[in-house]
Amino acid sequence: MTSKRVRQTFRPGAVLLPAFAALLLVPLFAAFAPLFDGGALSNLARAFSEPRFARSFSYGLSQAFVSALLAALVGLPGAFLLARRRFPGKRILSALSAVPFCVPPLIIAIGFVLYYGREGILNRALMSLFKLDEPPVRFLYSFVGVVMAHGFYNFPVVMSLVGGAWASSPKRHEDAARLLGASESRVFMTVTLPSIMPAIGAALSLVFLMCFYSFIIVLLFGGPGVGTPEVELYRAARFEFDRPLASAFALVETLVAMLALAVYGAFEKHAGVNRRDAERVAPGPFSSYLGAGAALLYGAFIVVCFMGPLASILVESLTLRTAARGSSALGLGNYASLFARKGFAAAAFNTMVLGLSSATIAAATGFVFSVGLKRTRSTLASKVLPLLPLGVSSVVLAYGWNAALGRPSVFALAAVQAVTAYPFVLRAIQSSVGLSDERYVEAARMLGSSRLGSTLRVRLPMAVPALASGFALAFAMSAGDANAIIAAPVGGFETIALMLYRLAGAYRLNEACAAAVVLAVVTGFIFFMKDVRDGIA
Amino acid sequence: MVSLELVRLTKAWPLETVDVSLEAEAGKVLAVAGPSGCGKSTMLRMVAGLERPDSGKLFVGGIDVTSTEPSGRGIGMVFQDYALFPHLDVFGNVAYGLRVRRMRRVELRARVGSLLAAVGLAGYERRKPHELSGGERQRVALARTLAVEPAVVLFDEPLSSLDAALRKRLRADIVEEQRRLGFTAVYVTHDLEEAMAIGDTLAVMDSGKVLQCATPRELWENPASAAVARFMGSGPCLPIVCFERAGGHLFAVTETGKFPIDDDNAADGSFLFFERGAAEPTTTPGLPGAVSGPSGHDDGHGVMAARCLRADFAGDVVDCAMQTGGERFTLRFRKGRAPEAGEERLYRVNPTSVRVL
Repeated sequence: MTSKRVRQTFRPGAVLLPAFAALLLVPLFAAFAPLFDGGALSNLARAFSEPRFARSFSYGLSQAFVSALLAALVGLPGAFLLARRRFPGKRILSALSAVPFCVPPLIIAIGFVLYYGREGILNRALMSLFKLDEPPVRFLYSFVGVVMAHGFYNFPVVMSLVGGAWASSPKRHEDAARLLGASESRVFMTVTLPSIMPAIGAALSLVFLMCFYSFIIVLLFGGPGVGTPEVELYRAARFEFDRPLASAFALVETLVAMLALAVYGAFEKHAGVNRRDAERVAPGPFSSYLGAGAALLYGAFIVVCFMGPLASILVESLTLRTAARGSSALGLGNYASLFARKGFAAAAFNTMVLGLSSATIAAATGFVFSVGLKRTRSTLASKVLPLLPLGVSSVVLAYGWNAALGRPSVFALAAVQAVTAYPFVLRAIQSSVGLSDERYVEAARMLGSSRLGSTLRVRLPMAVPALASGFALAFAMSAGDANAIIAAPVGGFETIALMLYRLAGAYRLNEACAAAVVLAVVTGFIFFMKDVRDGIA
Repeated sequence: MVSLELVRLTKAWPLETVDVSLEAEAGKVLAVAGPSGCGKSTMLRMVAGLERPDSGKLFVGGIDVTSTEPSGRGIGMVFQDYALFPHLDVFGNVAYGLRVRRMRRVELRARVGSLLAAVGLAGYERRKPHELSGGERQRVALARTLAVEPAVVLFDEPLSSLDAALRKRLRADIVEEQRRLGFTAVYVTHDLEEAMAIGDTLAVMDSGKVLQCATPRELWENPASAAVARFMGSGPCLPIVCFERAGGHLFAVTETGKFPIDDDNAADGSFLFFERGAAEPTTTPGLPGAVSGPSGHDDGHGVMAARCLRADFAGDVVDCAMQTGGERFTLRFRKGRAPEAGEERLYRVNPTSVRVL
């Protein structure tokens, strides 16, 4: 007699993935739905006929494109240094790769105001040095200002992504070219450059995407009447109550972003292929004084232009303005008044709760997806589909949740932040789970473990450090995010990031800087988590 | 045709040093064999100019090229993992060095075409490296290296990632090309059989040094040291306890027994070596003159008892892993004459085949 046993298996992916898809798709469709009020085509035609529609896309695309180029210009020398040279301070340069992910853009924006503003540190220093009457640096509130902020903010993305590929660009290929008679410049142009080109393309498209969706920096520096589609969407929905127009912005900007994402995915796929058969070139010392001098100049440039704005926040937070104009002293008074501010404790608590919630969702989904990806053949679809949330902006999602729920909600904020952080969390987790040896799981299964059992007893413990890093990254991104909460403010619910935005808007810059430093301490610790940096790279 | 000479080419790291002196005869193949990590690849990279030696000289055709850039040495290299440029197709790979030399387009096409035909890959011009099999990739790598007509070609374990049958075929192709074009070749491998088959001369390396360099036959029959003998596996290498002279004969005493040796053998070595073919099974235990137990010397022959640990069937012959006095070695027997695993037998050893190392 034979008995048929139906084996019951529980697959977390079967619950988590549809749930996550719902977190992405419900707000997305809700964001697009108002377009159908009175006919989608007529609404789209109306949107396209509005001059600001074309203007905003032209502005958004051009600023993103130029910003990506600037990020490449600043990031590529750093990528070379990280990949091929040994020098003191290399770890610090390498740690900068976490800046775009763990330092909120709001902090960068305030840093830029303090440093490059008309009365900023740079202008004051230049004016006193060269005895000038007018501040020489006046680009901040313009296209150039937006591009500079984006370029400097995102150069570590290029440096990190390209640096990783450069470090693993195949040594033997370069050796083979040398032996075939190629000069060093020819080796670079014909062997090294083609091998890092996919990484350059991936980095540029990622930076393009991040700048295209930039919100705060454009809102602050773009000036009146100028805005990216993201900012125009916000204005149309928040101040003009023109929901069909806001939906048209949401739809078209999502389509544009998806194109950029497809480009990113294609480059990323090739970058992955190239990395597989790589043999690393060990970084060496500088071969000439000229090279060492150029690296020193580069380091000085990064310190002055990139670290300067960040350092000025700390200085400003410790500067106590007194009643007499121009006089100031150093102290912790700004922190004292910030902590004493009504609502600060609640904001800190809300930041923690929101961060932990969105990090839990993002890390759990990231783990399930990364395990799922191990079982999927590596195709463009399997690379791009999990990264789809990269192509959707937090403003669109927040707007969509508002439309779907009829009112702003804290749940919606957590969902938006989880979805936004998830692609980066996935990368952080994949850098461990994705690369861990599949044979361990196979061995567990051969020893009688079920699929779920081997995942829980073998894969999960092996992935714990990377999961912790992914969780921390998601927490930091959530804590620093002001976009979603500005786009869909929830009455009576304030976070430190929102408080910072309001303080800056009220020109209480010293307290804003103290809040920025507090926020940076909360988010900046992931600077030191190697898995996070590896994941980002 | 030019020769290649390495004179005390040295590279030192905190825990290891590679110090090599070698000469590759013009138009011949010098095979370099040795265990993994013995410094073969470092030696090759120093010759290619990809690794800067700490000291020593390198001569190509009598010209000192120690400080010359890799591109100016007239040396080509076929890499272990092929190192084909993944972004270029087969044509682009083979044409790479010719383009560096600014060869005219028509001439270049003809040359690449003839090279690909020579390695049996005509019609593969537009394929990318990932579309080729391992053997095809290796042949493209060979064509690419030969395209620039180097005077010396270095082969860094070029066939190690291929299966045995393909390895043999490609080995023959390489030898054929070498004979046809007459370049000097240095062929590095950890596969002894491959090294003996391909090398006109064979250098055995260990711990960063060349232990012996001679023809494969010479190395097989007359290893200069126990380390070479053990690497070659050409026969047992028994530690000598002492030497004795009795009845006008010189004997080497080992733990296994006492072996008569010719007088022209120096009586100051530490190991007794004989070719594995010199051990004949005998059924005569403890003949008169035997020293102790079943081993000793029989009718002017040394006799040893050895246990068969494992017998591997290899077609017409059987390779047996043997053990005697703590020493392990392989003996090859004709089918039907091999011992069974676990069986202990006596073997007569011809004194003319015995050497003291």
